[in-house]
Order: sequence, then structure tokens, then C-alpha cells
Amino acid sequence: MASTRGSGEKRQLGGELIIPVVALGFTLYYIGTVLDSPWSAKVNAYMVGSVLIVLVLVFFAVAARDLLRGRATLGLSNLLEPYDILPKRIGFMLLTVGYLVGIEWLGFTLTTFVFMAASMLLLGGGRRPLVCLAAALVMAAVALGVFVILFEKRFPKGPIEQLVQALS
Amino acid sequence: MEINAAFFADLFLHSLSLWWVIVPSIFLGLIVGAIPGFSAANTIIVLLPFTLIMEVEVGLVFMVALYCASRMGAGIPAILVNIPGTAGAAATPLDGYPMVKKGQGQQALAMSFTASTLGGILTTVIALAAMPLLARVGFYMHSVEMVVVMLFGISLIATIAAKDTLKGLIAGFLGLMIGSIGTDHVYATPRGTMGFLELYDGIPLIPALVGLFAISEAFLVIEGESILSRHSRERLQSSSWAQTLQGFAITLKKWWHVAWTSLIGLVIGVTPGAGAAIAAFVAYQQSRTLSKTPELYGTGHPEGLIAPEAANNGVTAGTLIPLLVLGIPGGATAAIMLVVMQYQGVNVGPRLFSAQPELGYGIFMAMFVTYLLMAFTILPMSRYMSRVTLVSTTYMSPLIVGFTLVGSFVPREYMFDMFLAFAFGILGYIARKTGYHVAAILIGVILGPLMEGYMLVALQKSDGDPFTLFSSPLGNVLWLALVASLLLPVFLKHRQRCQAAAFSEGEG
Repeated sequence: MASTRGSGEKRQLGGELIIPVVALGFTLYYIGTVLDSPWSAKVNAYMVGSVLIVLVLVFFAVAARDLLRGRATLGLSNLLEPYDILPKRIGFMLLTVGYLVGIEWLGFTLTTFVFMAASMLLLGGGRRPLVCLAAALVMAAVALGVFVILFEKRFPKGPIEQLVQALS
Repeated sequence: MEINAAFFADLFLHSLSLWWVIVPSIFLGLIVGAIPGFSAANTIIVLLPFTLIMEVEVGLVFMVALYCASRMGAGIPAILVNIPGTAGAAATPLDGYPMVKKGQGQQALAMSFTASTLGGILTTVIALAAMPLLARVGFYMHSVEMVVVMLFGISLIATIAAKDTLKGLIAGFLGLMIGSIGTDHVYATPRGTMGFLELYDGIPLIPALVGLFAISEAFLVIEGESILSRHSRERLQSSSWAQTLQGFAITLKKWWHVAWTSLIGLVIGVTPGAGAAIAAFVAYQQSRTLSKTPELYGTGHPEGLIAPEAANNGVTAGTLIPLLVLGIPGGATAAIMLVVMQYQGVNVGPRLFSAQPELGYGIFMAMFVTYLLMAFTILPMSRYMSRVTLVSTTYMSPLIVGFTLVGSFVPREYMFDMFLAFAFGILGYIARKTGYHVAAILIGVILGPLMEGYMLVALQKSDGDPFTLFSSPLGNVLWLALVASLLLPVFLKHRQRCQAAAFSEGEG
């Protein structure tokens, strides 16, 4: 697990506050969805939700104290470091989103191949392109064989799946 | 038929003669256990037509061997790449993965296999001997007792994330809230679903599991060329069979640890619905609480790996006890076995052991033989499996993300689940980078719906009286044990601090 504070460095609270803020927001939303519900739907919301709200408020209080005493800042560096990897990391995340969106259009096998190849080329800085393409091809073929042909999982169909279907 | 030593010897030899079913089932089980989203239950369902045309004993031996091996298989990716194959292996990476990062992957796998095998053998023998007695455990565990058992699981949140208890509690309770998404148990009112129909059945576990552990890890490990440091890589490259033997020897030396943590698994496994995930986390927490070196847990400590692996294999025998003795399946795989047995005309329940003892006891003997054969077939493989960690992150990270996203689609075949796994991956990434424990979130997600269900039953039985939670003698004993397990680490830490202070004063 990443360390959140190096020796002699100020605590970077910006990143640390994300989870409590998400927790608080989600709990309030959740409680909002059960306000008009029967008691059986409310038990967990009030029991667990109230404890979570108290915990988050305690965290905010501790964070505010550290900020006021100058022991912490609202920086995000613990979340974003190391900065030299950041473009690759964001690119990799965007490619993952692209994979999830593209699979509906291009089908399972082709999108898996494109995602694997593009990600490997991105992370490897464009080095050994043939190895990346070959690895992606093998992975996509294995995925097609195991998940689509053997286990007949209903992944979105594209040209490859339609070809396989036509041949079988 | 007389049940004596000769009967068990005959049964053992007969089970051994079915090696031709057991060995292929072991390898199949290892593979499906290692693939996130593919459980033993899924595979047995896919292969159900074959099981039904087999002779009943061959079909049952096949299912039992597959079940045992899948439990062990789930630990392999959990240790090597921080991806638990099933929820039962979710506690395994806590110390298994740090061992890999130190270049001790081969040793970690050997320890995991040995602990699983020993835990499985021991609990199978105990199950054979004490079956009628253990079956009664299921009778005594009502909703109140189950709520306390669940709270045991939740108390882990605070102790596992001991570096910052407040963050651990926030992560755990956030997990509980996420686990409460879905329709309520009585009136099916949707709660916290954000309008997604796919969430009406609750949060599916596989996307949460692979997202929090695997996808977040894949986004993290790209910071280095490999998941191993240069020193660890050199250590792994120069490793020999000695590391496997060392892992084997360390686990044998800690036989007592294996014994009592696997017994935790056996007892929790007997309780219908409790499952391997709870057993593994409870065993991990108890192991840490009673350890002389709790501060080493989470850093690649052998006992932290042995405890969950022994416990989740103890569950395997435990789950079958209520199925065979009472006719109540303790989990998904046991439920499928029940279907097959009913199809074949086998009546499970107390009469099984008097009417068809060779079948009733034979199932456990098959389990015993499976674990014996696993020791000889799987242990030698640890040396080669650990080499997976030498693969560069350039190839490893896309492979992990692609593979686990596909795995999250498999159980329900919803595209939504792939997006959900990615969302959990981002949550897990933020949690890891900012010092929140992803395991704490996962425990909450697993326990949230279970605890709510038992809580509602308890409250409905008592017309909404919350003091019903303190109304059962067994429940009260469990409450005391729960409080003790929370206070004991604080007390032990305080005592260690006092001893250290006294020692430094003496030195001065």
C-alpha cells in the first residue's frame, strides 16, 4: 500500500479526502433513496450509514486540525506520483474505457486484440512492436477459444465471432 | 455394514483406484479456480450433463476433486499477481503477494499448497470422525448468532488496517454501504441503485473482487518494469528446488497453526451461508491477534499466508457436512451436488450413513485422497508457476486488465459488470495510493448483504426489539469473544510497549 506521508514531508490530504467524500456523498444519497421506504429497507441505511457519517466527520475534523496546524496540505501528489508515469497511466485508463465502449461496436475478440496491442505498445513506449502484436494476437485467440467457443459466453459479437459462427 | 478400520481401509483403496477421475479433476479445478469469475460451481454446472451420465460415485468423486482443487487454484493468482480467483482467496494476497514482491514467490506457493493440503486432510479426517456432532453446529447458528459472526468479520476491518484504524473503519463501512445496494429483503424496494436495473440483485461479487484487487494493481504496477524489484528478480531467477522445500518445511514446522486455522474453516464451513471468505478473514485475524509478531502481518509473513489458505480448505469439508447429514447445502457447489444426488436417487440426510455408508463416508474419503494426490501433483509445480512474476509489466498489466474484465462478464453476462469492475478498479487505485485498505472495502461488500439479511430475520422474530441480539446464550458468548478479539490486540500492543519501555530503561 502506498505510503501517504514521507519523513519530514507534509501530509497530502487532497488524495486522502477522496474516499471519505465519496463515502459521505454515497451514504447521503443512499439514505435519500430509503426515506419513504418500509422499515426493513431502512435498517442498514441508518445503522451502517450513521456510523459511516460519524467516522467521516471525525476524519474531517482530524484533517482540519492538521491543516490549521500546518502539518498537512491539500496536495494530490500521493495520488499522482510518480509524475513521469502519469501520461502512461492516464493513457492506459483511457484505453480501458475505450475497450469497454468499443466492445459493443467491434465485438469481443477484435476489441480485445486492439486493446491488448495498444496498451502493450503504450506501456512499452513503442518498443518491440512485433512481440506486442503477437502477444495480443495470442491472448485474443485464447479468449475467443475459451470464452466464446468452449464456454459459449454471450460476449458482444463482431466480425470475428460472426465468421466463427458461419464456419461452425 | 460395520463401520470399523477395515471399512475405512477398503474405502481408502477404492477411492485411490479412482485416481483416473481425481487427477484430471485436480488440474481442471486448478485452472477454473485460478480464473476469476469461474468457480467450481460454474464448471460443475457446465459439465453437469457428463456428471449425470457417470456412475453416481464417479460423478461425486469428480465434483469433490474439482471443488477441492479449485479452492487451492484460487490462491495461485492471489499470491502471484494479487488477483484472488474467488472470494475465498481474498485474504491470501495480504501476505502472499508481499512475499512474491520479495522474490519468495516459489516459497509462497509451496507454503500455500502445503497449508491447503494439510488443512484439507486434517479437516477431512475430523469430519469423518465427528460428522454427527459437527452437523449440530448448523442447528445452533440462528440469525442472532450469525449477526455476531458477521460482526466478527467486520471487526477485522479495524484490526487488519491497523496502520490507521480510522481509515480502515471508513473503508470497511463504505464497503458495507456498497454491499447494501440493491432491493431490500422484504419488500424489494430498490436502494442506492442509481437507477441501474443490473444493481437490483445487489453488487455482484466478482466485479468488486477483480476491480478492487486486480485492476487497481494493474494501474499501480506500471510504475516499475516488473512487479519485482531488481534484487527480488535476481533472487527468483536463481531460485532452486530448495525454495519449494523451504516453503514446505516452514509450513510443516507451523503444523499447529495450520491445524487450528483449518478448524476455524471447518466450523465456519458447517454453518450454511457463511463461506470461505469469512473463514479466511476470521482465521487471518485470529492468527494475527494471537501472534507474537502481529506487526509483521501484511509484509509477507508466512503465518499470514498459512492461516487463510488452511481455513478456506477447511471450509471445503465443512460445507459438505450439513449437505450429507442434514440435507442442507452449505454453499453453491454443495447445492449442485445435492441436485446430482437427487437425480441419481440418493437420499441425503441422517439415513445416508446407515443405508449407504460407502457413499456417505466415501465422499469424504475421496476428498482425503484428492488432497493426498494434490500434494504430489501440485507442489512440484510451484517452482515453474512463480516464474509468471518475471513477465514485464508492459505485458502483464494489459493482460490482467483484459483478463479480469472478461472474467467479470462471465458470471451474469452483463456488459454492465465490466464497467462496474473498472469503477471498482479506480476506487481501489485511489484507496491504495492514499492509504485505505482495499481488503477492508471488500470485506464490507461481502458481509453487507449477509449481515442485513440475518439482522432483519432477528428483528422480525422479536417484533423489532434490538435487544434480541443479546438474547441468546451462544450469541452472548460470541459477543464476549468478539469484544475480546477487539481488545486483545490493543492490550497486547500496550504490554509490548510497556515491556519495550522497561527494557530501554534497564539498558539505560
